[in-house]
Amino acid sequence: MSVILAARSVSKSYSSYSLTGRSAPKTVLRDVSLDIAAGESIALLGRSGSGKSTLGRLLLGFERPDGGSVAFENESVSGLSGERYRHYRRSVQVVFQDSLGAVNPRHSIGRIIAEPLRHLTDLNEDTRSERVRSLLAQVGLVPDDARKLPSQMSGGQLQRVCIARAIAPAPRLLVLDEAVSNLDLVLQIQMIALLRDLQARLKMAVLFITHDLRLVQLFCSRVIVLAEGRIQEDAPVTRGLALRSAEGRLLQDAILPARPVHRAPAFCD
Amino acid sequence: MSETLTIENLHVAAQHGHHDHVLVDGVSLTLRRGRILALVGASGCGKSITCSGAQGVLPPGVRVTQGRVLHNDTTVAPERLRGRVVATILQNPRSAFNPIRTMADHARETLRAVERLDGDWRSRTLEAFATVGLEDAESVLPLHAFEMSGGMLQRAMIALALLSDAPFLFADEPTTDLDLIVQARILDLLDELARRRNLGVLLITHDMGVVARLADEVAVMENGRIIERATTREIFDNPQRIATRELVEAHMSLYPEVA
Amino acid sequence: MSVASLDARASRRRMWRLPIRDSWAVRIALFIVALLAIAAIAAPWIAPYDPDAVDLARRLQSPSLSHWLGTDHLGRDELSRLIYGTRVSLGSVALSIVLILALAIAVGGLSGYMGGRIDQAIMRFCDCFLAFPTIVLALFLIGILGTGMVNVIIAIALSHFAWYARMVRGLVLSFRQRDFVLASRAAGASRVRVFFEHLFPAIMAQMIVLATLDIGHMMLHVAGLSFLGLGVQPPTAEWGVMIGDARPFVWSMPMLILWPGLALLLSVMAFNILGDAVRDRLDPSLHGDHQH
Repeated sequence: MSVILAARSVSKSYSSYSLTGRSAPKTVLRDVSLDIAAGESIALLGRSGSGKSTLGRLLLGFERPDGGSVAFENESVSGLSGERYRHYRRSVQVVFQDSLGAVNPRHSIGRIIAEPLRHLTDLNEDTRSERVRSLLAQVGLVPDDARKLPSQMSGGQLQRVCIARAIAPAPRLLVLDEAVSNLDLVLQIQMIALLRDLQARLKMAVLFITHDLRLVQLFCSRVIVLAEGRIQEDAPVTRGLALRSAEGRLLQDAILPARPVHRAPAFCD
Repeated sequence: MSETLTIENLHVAAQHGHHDHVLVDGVSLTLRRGRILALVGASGCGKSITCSGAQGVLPPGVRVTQGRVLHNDTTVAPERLRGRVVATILQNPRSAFNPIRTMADHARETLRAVERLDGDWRSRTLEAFATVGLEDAESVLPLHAFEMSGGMLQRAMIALALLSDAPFLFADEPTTDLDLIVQARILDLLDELARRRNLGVLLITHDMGVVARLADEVAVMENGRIIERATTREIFDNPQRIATRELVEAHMSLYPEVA
Repeated sequence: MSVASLDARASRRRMWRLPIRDSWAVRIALFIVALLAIAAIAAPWIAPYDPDAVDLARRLQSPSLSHWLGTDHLGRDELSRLIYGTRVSLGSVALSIVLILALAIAVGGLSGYMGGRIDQAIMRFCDCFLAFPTIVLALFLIGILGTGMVNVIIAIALSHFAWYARMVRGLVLSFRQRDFVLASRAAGASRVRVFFEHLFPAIMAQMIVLATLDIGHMMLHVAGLSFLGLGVQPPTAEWGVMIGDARPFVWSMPMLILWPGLALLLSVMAFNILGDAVRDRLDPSLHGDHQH
């Protein structure tokens, strides 16, 4: 299988500035390597502060690693330019956690979804709006929604808009950065079903960044556990998955019970 | 007869020009000390508004049009309720704290609001912080919200809720913004405190996992109304209404090996 | 659709309606501003006389049917000078604002985007401007540049732009890490395109709010500097100049001070009231535009 995107021993640290000057840098990622092959669905699992979102941002080219490199089709992302850069942008797309914050409140839904088409493809305006209509349908929205503003949609609908925008340039890898965490549980399940369906139809690879192991089991074939900026475990997702690393055990034990526990039933009024 | 808190026939409406948009449509609930009642429903069903409506802390343009709150069969005004009878913990602990005040300031303010600020506030605050598992409570006192993690802040908020010594607790999505490991610990903490302090808890959540972990009884809300109420076990085993079934089914689909 | 989104839709609809229906104060303010705009644009057609035509035979006349507001010490028609004065007041303020916005967006945008040392250097430079009251700074700049209308505009722009630049920088910094800006980069937009598609409109909305609140204050600057003889020079018809010219006659013909003074008072008040109304409409921080 061909590797689309790879992190090659990347590390990243941040330092904050204050009145007294620069603080000691805080290391967020240490020597992380990861290959994402075509069609794969990988979960990046970790608690908050584990470095999973930072790794996502490096892979998306929003930030540069301090050490190591991110390679797209065996070429360092920081060196890409011109048509190669456009090809990288077309190929790797993202859906963020907070859908309301991820869209410009002044733009119409149609314009939001068309943005990658305008920048990354040579489609003319008619073809673009035709494509926007078909994208809306693919994510379960109606053509009329293209005229709406973000404030006129619910959180779940808006996340569908963000998904439509991400799949617009026909990416080969979709990074889902906690993309369902802000939704309520019923919507989370609907969104996972939609994403699973899109992944199968569009034959995309997916990097699913999450803290919820339950969702991993629904959606991914491989899970990578991240803690304190290092990869702790890299395991295939099987039925009855049992993580082995200490962090993996913690995350697995934190899963809420499926059925009511221990509190005795009481009378009801 | 144990101590109770009753929300009776609560109506809340938002004003839109000349007509009202009904958000909560005649909700009645009874909390008992020592019991945890979960109020569940899809986002926008009115569960959070019920909670803030009962306490009289609604956003501008939204108001209670009818209904009252009774503490042991006596009507209580919302401002007498807050802090004294009901303590609250919220979803987003970061925005619940004043960014320029320290934890010690917040503790003093909480105690002052219920007229319990006296010479030994410090030792009581330290005790509350220790109870909620904030290690080294002494060093937490001078911290500001931005110097603490989400889990620490949620613990601090629970500690402040405990300080007021109110018999009832409203917890509005208390763990939604936390990762699962922190969430599990906070839920353990709430469970233990509710039992040890014999608190009556109204737990607002969209996550049936949280309900399964913590609640004794469940009330399901849809479009501003309570459409079903039963014990947690009955809700899981034998949901009556479509909305309830949807919630339970969505939840169970996360556990393929159980179902 | 959730209730909160209904709310947001309603507030958005309200947002784009002109603030006409608010209160009487806003309606009157809007009326005065419209009157000023018409006077400025149509001055040559509506002014009864040439504002600079001297007629010493008819100097210092009281209001009459031929000279509604009377004449000044050189026999010039007071009403015509008042109408032409609108042009200078509004025009110089408008040009100042254009200059301020251009400077602020360039300086603040650069500062916010570059960050690091360049940002620090630019901001310390701005702090020098912020350290003095604007009128003191304007007087100082006039002292360097010399008098005249162009220099007044430059002085007002330079004494005010730092406030705007700081705000532009703050907005750029807050927007730069917002998810929709990152999403736009993922959608292949270059930094320049991200700026003009996403940041610029949001920044302009805020700048216009700020500028509307400042119009009255800047009009006072123009008039004040001209009154002191540092701004627009006589014989140009300008309200500050007119007040200055009328000073020797304050006891004999007080209405020569009254008319331009009243015009200044009413327009400053009108712009301030309108500025508040525009801020209430456009400032997103005053609207609950989010939902859950």
